[in-house]
Amino acid sequence: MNLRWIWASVALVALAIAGCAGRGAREPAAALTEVAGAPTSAAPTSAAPASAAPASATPVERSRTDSAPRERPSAELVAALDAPTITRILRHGPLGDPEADPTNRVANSPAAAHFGQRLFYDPRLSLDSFHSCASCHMPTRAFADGLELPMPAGSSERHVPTVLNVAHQRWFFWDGRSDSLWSQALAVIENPKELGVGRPGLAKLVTRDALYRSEYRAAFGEDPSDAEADVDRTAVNAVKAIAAYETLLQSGDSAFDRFAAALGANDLDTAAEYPAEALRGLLLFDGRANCRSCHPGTNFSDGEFHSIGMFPRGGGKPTDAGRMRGIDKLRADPFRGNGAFSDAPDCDRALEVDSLVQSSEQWGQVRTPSLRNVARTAPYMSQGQLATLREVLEYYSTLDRAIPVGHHGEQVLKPLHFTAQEINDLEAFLRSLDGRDPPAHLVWAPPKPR
Amino acid sequence: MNNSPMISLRATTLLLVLAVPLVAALASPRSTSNASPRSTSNAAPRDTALAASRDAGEVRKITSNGGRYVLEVREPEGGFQRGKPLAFDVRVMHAGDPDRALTDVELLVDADMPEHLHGTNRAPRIERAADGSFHVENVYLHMAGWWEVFLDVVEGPWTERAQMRVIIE
Amino acid sequence: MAAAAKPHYGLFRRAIPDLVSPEFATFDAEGRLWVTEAHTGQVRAFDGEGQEVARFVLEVKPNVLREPHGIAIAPNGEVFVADAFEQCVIVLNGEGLRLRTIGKRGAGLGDMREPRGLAIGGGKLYVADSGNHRIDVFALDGKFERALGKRGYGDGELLAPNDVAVDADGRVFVADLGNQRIARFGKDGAFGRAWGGIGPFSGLFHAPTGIAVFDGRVFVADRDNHRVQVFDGEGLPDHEWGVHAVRPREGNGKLHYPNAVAIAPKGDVVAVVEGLEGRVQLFGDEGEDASDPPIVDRSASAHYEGGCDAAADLVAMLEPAGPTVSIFDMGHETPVEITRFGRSGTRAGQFLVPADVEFSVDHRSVWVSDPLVHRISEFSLARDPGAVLRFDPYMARFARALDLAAVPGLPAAPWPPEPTALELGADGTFYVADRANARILAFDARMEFVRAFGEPGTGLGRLLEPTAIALDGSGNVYVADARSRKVESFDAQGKPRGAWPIPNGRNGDGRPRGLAAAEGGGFWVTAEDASILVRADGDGIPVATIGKAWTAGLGRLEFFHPEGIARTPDGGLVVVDAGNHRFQVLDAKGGFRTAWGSRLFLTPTFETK
Repeated sequence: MNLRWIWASVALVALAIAGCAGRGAREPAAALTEVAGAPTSAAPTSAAPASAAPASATPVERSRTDSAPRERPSAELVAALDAPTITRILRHGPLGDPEADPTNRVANSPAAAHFGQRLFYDPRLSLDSFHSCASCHMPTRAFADGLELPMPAGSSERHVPTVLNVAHQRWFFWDGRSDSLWSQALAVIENPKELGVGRPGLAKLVTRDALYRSEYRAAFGEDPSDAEADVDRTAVNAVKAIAAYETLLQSGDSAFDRFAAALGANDLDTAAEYPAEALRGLLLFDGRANCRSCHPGTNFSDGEFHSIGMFPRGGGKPTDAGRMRGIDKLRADPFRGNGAFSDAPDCDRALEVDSLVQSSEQWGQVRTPSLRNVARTAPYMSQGQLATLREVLEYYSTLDRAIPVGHHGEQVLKPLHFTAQEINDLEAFLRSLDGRDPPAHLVWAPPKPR
Repeated sequence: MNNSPMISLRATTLLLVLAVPLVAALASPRSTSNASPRSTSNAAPRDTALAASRDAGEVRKITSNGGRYVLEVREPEGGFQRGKPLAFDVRVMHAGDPDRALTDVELLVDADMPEHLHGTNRAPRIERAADGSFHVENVYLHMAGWWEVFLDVVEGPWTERAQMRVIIE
Repeated sequence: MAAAAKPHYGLFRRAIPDLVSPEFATFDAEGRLWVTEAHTGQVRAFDGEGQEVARFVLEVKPNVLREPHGIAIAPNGEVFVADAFEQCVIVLNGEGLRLRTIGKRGAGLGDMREPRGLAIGGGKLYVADSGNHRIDVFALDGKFERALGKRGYGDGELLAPNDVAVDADGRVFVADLGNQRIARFGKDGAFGRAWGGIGPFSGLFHAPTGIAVFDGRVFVADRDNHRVQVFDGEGLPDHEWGVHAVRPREGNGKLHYPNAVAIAPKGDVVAVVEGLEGRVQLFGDEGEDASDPPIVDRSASAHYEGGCDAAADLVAMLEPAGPTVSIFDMGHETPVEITRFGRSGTRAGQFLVPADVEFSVDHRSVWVSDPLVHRISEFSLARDPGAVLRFDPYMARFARALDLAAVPGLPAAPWPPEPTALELGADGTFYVADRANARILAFDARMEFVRAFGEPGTGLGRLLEPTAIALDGSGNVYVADARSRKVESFDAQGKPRGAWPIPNGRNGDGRPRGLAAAEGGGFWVTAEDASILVRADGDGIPVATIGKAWTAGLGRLEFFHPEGIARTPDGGLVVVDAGNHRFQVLDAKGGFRTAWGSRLFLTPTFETK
């Protein structure tokens, strides 16, 4: 047995355990009840100006800390938060663990993740032996590529999203044409414009490379095979291992999460260290701007599909049918969750594809992106049309250049007419969603054992 | 073009409506006057708003929009929550005979977001129990905001709607 | 772009103006364009310069015009024309002499109802049998061979298919109008694929009414999107053209409700038929200047069409293309829209193409008819007349729907009822026109079926295409029958009382479209084709005409293809001035009171005088 491999496994197991334990500790429900159940007679009934709300009017008792005086930029704002507002805030964080994917039996297997991590960084997955998953999902760029559209030009007409926290998503690709992380990875490997080595090439690689062979065996308890009859099974196992690795690429513990945790624990002193502009932005996000309508929950996404009328890259008419076509592709995908290669084709998650409603309302809809780490994943939108967060906020403010809904249609989105201050606040809030990087041992190919 | 009297009025009124807080919209009085047989629809009570945090399993009585039916809805466990498939049970009675569940009607279920002009992305499943009640599954409300859950009772040539207003946090 | 060398159409060449209700067109082998005019009974042919070279008037018998729709020309020069009057296809020789008739009105195989577009290919005739929701395939000698599709919304099913085309490989492409999509069938008749859905974006449709194929590409007249879309044979969008004409009578390459398309044999010219505007525009290759037109914004238009109603201080208007219903508060200087509702779909509470709207007796609800789904639906209006006047998007709520195909006790008929006109009597009797079976259904105040009257045909008490119902103070029922060009009257029990033609301002009979009982007896009726409003006395004698006949007038009391009308409680009239994207309100004396709709169509009104 290779010692280094054992250490890595131990570390992964420890991480997984820590994650599980942490989940219980961070579970906001108890704190939520406490806050929500606090006497409301003394609580401000609306988001009154902070200055008007005396500290004594807070709905919860302040906790005490022994530390030296710290800057508490949002003390007054925090003090003025009423119970419903706090409840809403706590719905956004902390991040927690992703929903399980029973269609991948190794989704949480450290051995599979280790194998998958090596594959993720291996350029032999591409036809030109030059590109790997990490070529577009670059660890140094928050697992995105920082480009509007991926290189080489023409490889895709859609912008590369980050894979940080990707396991929190329900559907994959902008049009949701994959319903599991593993089938998403496989689609990229199959696509000759992207990695392109395909199932036979992938099966051959993991079968003939001795290291892969051993890691495959460790993960799946059997040998890989690139015999014609075994290609699909081997390749699917390999992408399930990639999915297991990607599941570890979590990035929570942002400034916002620390604020939310403190708020949930009634530690208002710590909560007050959250920048005032970010908190104002958050209140706007959950309030008048109603961003939370599509960006709810701890992953700041409803996991579904919407059109915000975004103008297409390069101008002209939009041509991307988005979710409407994505459902066709998903239903036709032999690697979907209720297909023959799924490990739980009858689980609720796998069967969801059968109950999807398809309509032309979905034309042009794309998946609501998570806003976690959003400041680190410019540019924005499904074709990278907007370069900065500020441009995104200005778009929502004015809907400038938004595509028309047609002369029989009804415009749902309305310009939000943000003030300069509001844009600053929202941007500060969004920047507070930057999480910690995944641990260092996860951000490059595992070293080869000697 | 934007100065069209119709359009500008429409824009103004829409803005006005948007400016009115949702709570006000919920509280706005809805006519419940005695209606002729021609417009039985106004017999429906309008206060069917449901809070998402309601206790699990609470039974809610709803009169259909045409006044013909009373529906008992046993709410989903944990109330109506965002982003998870919800299940609940429904019994359908004639308004004039509220103690006897109808066994010869069909139930169709759908959900809609009036402010967003779209519905739900999943098709609910409806199963009928031996006692004539309906078990509804897979009602999936993905967004935060105002939803209307439609419970359409089909009896012979008629389809009559009962609806629940659900505010999802 | 596999088809890089193929033309990108959209370059405006010329218009053939001054047509009356052109419906379909086709080119013959010599490049002459043949056009049908549904409302004049004519087939007209034009050369490449747009000069008329032939014209046939098609009559069932002297002075009874046929209603020609689809047209196709066989390799031997025979001209096939779909006739909606007799519900058949007639075959003419090059001189316009009728050689034979194919099919007859009916639901059985080989029969047809509302035949629309035709296509000829591989020695077969394909008929878009709109009323039977299928494509009928005949040998050119008239022998029935088979039907493609059946009524429905799923794969291989059709809903009111309006046109058909066949490619060189024998594949059949169908403009599946009711389902807002294109369907393709193989040479063997098996369903291949379908594409579309309702919407303004590329690959979506808003009333795909016309279709043609040429050189592997599919051309679709996307009527209510005011464009032609071009696809490859698999439904992949290739290009499109058509800038929405937003100013009255605008042309010169801009399109307004293009309803059919035809391609010249060499592929150098595409003819686009615009029935509403009475013209055909010819387009060629744009070459390197090619660009797709923009999507038109909502602000461009209001599309009031079909029926309307007025009650107390309310007016209800339909925008079938939305599809939406608008309710206006009329107690002010101008109409104020207070709510709008409707969503496209086939489920209860949704609409496909609503045809008429009717307030309940207490006007706390409105009924809407939707013929393609056999349904009338009631929506409650939670309106507080004392409240501040404002647009309330949530005022209307779907209450209930009646599936007329499932109503017990209806007399047997070949087709499920297709409800068009609705009219409610003060006693609660509810009259519903059944377009499919050419009859009127009466329900009592509890919505129980009472009786049916009228039957298909052209004599007294017979109907062809009931489009509107009105009731006078004595309980008499008036029915506008567009196709037989008369107003038919029945007593309250359904016994025929009389049938009266209405003038069209040209010594002929007009096509009645909207109908309302007049104050003091008689009725008001719109002659849709002549663009006039006619008042007749109790004996059906015309006593007054409003509007300039056969003139696309924009001024006050001028109309362009007026449709529904309704009497207001004070004896005035509301007129759906459909072709002018507006409605006009008249006082009890027939004087102009107000108008409402798209600004570009209102401005001249207010500037006149």
